[in-house]
Amino acid sequence: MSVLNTITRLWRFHGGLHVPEHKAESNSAAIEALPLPAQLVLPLQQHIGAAARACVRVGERVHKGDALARADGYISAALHAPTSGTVVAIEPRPVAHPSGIPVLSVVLESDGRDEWGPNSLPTPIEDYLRLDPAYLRERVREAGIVGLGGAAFPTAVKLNAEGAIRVLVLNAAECEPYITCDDRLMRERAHAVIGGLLLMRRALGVKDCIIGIEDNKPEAAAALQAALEQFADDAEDVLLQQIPTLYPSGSEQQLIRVLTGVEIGRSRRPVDSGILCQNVATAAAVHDAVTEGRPLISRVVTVTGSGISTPRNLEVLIGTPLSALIEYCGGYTPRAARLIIGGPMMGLALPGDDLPITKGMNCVLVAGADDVSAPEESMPCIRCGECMNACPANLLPQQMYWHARAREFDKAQQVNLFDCIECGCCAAVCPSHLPLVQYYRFAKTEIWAAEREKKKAEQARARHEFHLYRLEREEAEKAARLQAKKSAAQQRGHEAETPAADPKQAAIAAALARAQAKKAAAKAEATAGESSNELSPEQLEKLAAARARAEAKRLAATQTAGEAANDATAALSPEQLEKLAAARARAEAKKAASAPAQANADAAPALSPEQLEKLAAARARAEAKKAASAPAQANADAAPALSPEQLEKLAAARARAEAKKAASAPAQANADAAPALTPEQLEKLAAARARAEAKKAASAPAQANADAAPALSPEQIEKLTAARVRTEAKKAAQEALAAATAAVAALDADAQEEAPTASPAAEATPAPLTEEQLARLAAARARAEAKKAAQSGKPASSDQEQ
Amino acid sequence: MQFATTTSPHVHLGNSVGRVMRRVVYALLPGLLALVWIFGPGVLVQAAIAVSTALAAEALMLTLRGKPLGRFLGDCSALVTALLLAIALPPLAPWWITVLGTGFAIIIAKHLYGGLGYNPFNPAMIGYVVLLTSFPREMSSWAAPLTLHGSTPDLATTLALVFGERSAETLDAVTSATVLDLLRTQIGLGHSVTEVRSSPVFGLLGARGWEWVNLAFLAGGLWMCRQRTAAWQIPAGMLGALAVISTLFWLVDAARFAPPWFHLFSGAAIFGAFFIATDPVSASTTPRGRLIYGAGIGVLTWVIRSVGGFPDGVAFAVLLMNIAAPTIDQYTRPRVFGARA
Ligand code: SF4
Ligand code: SF4
Repeated sequence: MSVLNTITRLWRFHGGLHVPEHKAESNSAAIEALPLPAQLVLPLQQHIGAAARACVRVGERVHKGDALARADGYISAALHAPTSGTVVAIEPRPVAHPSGIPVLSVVLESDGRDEWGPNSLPTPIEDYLRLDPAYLRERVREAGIVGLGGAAFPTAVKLNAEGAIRVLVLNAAECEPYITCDDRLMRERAHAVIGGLLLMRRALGVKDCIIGIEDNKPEAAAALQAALEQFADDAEDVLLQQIPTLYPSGSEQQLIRVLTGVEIGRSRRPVDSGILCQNVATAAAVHDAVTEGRPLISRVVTVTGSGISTPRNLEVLIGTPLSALIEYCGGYTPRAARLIIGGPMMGLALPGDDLPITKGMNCVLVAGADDVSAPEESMPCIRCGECMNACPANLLPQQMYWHARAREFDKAQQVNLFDCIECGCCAAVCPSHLPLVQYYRFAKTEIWAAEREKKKAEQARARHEFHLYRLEREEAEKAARLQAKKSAAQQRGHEAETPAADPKQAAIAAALARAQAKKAAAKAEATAGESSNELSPEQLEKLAAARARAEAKRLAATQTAGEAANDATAALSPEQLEKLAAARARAEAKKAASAPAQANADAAPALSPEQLEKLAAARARAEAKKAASAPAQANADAAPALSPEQLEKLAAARARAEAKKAASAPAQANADAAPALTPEQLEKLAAARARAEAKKAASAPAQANADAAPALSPEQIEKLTAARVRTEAKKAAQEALAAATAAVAALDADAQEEAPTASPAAEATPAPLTEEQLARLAAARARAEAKKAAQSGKPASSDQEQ
Repeated sequence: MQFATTTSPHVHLGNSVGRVMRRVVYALLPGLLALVWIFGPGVLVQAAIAVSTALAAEALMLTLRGKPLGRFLGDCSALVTALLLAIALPPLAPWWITVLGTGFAIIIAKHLYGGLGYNPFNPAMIGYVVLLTSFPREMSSWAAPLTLHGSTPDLATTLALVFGERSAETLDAVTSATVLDLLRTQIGLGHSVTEVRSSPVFGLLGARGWEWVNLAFLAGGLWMCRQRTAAWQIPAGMLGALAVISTLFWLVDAARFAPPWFHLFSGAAIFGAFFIATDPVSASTTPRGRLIYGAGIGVLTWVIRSVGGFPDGVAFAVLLMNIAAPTIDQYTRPRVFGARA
């Protein structure tokens, strides 16, 4: 019996919202083809999964439909030339992503001829409904089709669930306000939509299909019905269901619930319950790929909102700049206030229109100031529960908010943070205008980052343990060999009563000595250059030069820090490792402040756990203050033992160093000095620094000088003061910049759950996040995430799962 | 062109704290009118005193705490606290009682706990309870209802009593003990409920006059629930529990325990259920939690009324359940979408 016969009604999901629909602005505008743009930018990553691998070279001429990049791995998607022309560059270009990190892209200059190549199209297939499923999947894969509803998950991967699926759901809900591209597509190309659905059904080997369409699109529903009738028997067991218009019924989970009554939570994927969901535009693309051999090189985009002169639905080549769409629609109106990719509930606001259209973009919404909520001053949560009433995932948004705000991420997880689909219902109804979704995103990314760090630390520990074990084993083996040789030699010696064995023993001893020397050298290297107290002028010179280099590389340094720490692990005890890992976690999240962490990691091997503890505590304090005062301090501490020449150079080096951003230098200088210090010295250092930090930057030099004074000759002071006067002038100019940097650094430091090493006070009461902080943190985190993802080739995040 | 990059969602449906609070004020209006009709203009005088005190105290505290005045005064939360307290006070209470109670509510019970959204206790009820325990005499002389006296004190008399000298005679002439008081003392003297109820202070359902006031509050409260300004689960839980427990005991011993309609319509049960217990900040916030929270208040109200030392138990019951709210929340989380039941 068909499953469809058991479906006799529609189900409800909890919550949901009636958001003003704004469909009328654009739903009467038929789909038009946008004129060919002069240049197309095609990011290699515009889908979930691994970025595609470019298969063209710069300067190469391509035909329309030629492959530009191939899928790299199972979860990936190919990319094709949307028109004929020349590849003029393959370089990182900005894309529409929260992080704003550029993505490697193929830049294609159109030749205006728009010619298909002789080989770019596989043979069209007429009788496509009788095709072999495996071949169908292959065609879909080659065509580079991804989910066009916004998620951009490679379609071929989803179609591989053959045999596991009982029901195929076609998502025609289009529940986000403003968007009408699917509506128009269904009205104008219903045949292709149904054809694609039947193809996917065949590829999956399922029988039952349900089409879910919101009841605010009666024309589209009628068109689909007519197409179904055209297919007659082929379209048997396809059920067209009109569902009540209620945001977010187009979300996969909610749609499946409404149509089948099945709830698919976070712990299960839809396929685990035998249900697969595909978007209507994806269906049409599958149809075109199979029947015409046409790869995914264009899509329908709604351009709408009161900020645009003439709202339209456009057939747009992938890679077309947004500005071309805006221009074609008559440009911005004076009301234009926000540029949003996607809908107003889940869309991404962009700073400008110089970005390319990618496969997952269904709408360009230019909202007028009064259509969107101003980033209004929010009030405290009054626990009214409106958010809870609206939440389609049946969560307690108010409690998730409380925990995220207090950075109690484990508690946030306990109240099911990860079941949140970021639909925005809660924030849209919150009387206090809290940016709830932003808090959830922040908490999620923090948790992800922490988990990644944990995994890394565990791997490092395992490596270290294995290393220790190996050392031990080698040592034991060596001893055994030695013992064996010794006893043999002894025996021989006994036999011969001559010192014949001596040369051998000498050789062994020599080898041992060499090894020892090497070890010592290695150690010396590891701790090289740290102690200003014992440095020769040459070393000082080098140190300064090295520091200058290090600062020039700030970002690169972040990664090196991790590596350096890894290298150092061999010499570290587990506790040290633990701490080191924590330090690294912090280090990676910082920008300017990353350099000191590296210095630290380098220095770590020589530090005892206590020293580490103190050093870390001191650093945490130091970073929170204005950076300007610290360099002077570091200097002052180092000064007493320095010769006049050293001082001279040091001052010069300082002058150079201060010309750089202040945040990184002081901490590094400090860290450099640390390894050679005894705990008492450290204690004093920290105390002295604490004093110095209590003053403003202006007063710091004076004190630093005073501290240093006893050991300095009048000439030295003279010089020191002169140097200081020079640097002061520079400093004044940089004060503002330094303060800003320090603030950011402190913020970042805050964000890193300092618990293990932060000063106790800071640990006990982590100040709740203000929205401003949240915004900055979120942005920083998004960038970091994207970078990491780019490196590891994994998806950054699947923001718009719609 | 350069655009702002705020995060999604980009639309807001226009709700605001101010709107929520103003709706509470509208919902109070029928009850207020009924109070004026039955007990004279005293309640308006009290409201005026309480509102001015509350706004002044709020402004003071906001300034001290460095909060933006316009935004936070505009949220009307102080206005609501003041009105709730004014309604709970005897209409002819001396002015300083009202000033003291309102000031305490706003300054101590609200702002010293962190201000809007952070107060674990209902500020109005804290103010009320402080007054009740500190000045029991002033707090227990209610204006006699119109239905009993045939007239209510006019504005001049009211103002004189509130602001001027309060001689025992004038006071006695216009006040009477509340029915709950009467019931307690009479039962304490060994009379049965039926005997006591034949006293003229009793009306059809509960206390004479009070029935109308309570009906008016009920209307306002129901409207508020319909508007989803108040969570319906709380009044439902509270009145339901109060009805159930009073019915049970009344059936067991009708001579010693008052009937359910008496409990529902005499004291502050309805007003408390819809306007006091529903204060979202200090109440439970999950759907099931709200039912339990309301039910807890209902049971405690009955217990305090029947065996406790105070005439009405709503205020204490609310405060007690405020303490339990976070725990209730923790154990009543709704089943998350997709989670197995
Ligand atoms: S809607 Fe806003 S104010 Fe109300 S409980 Fe949720 S987060 Fe708090
Ligand atoms: S964004 Fe998350 S918490 Fe808010 S309503 Fe949607 S699912 Fe619920």
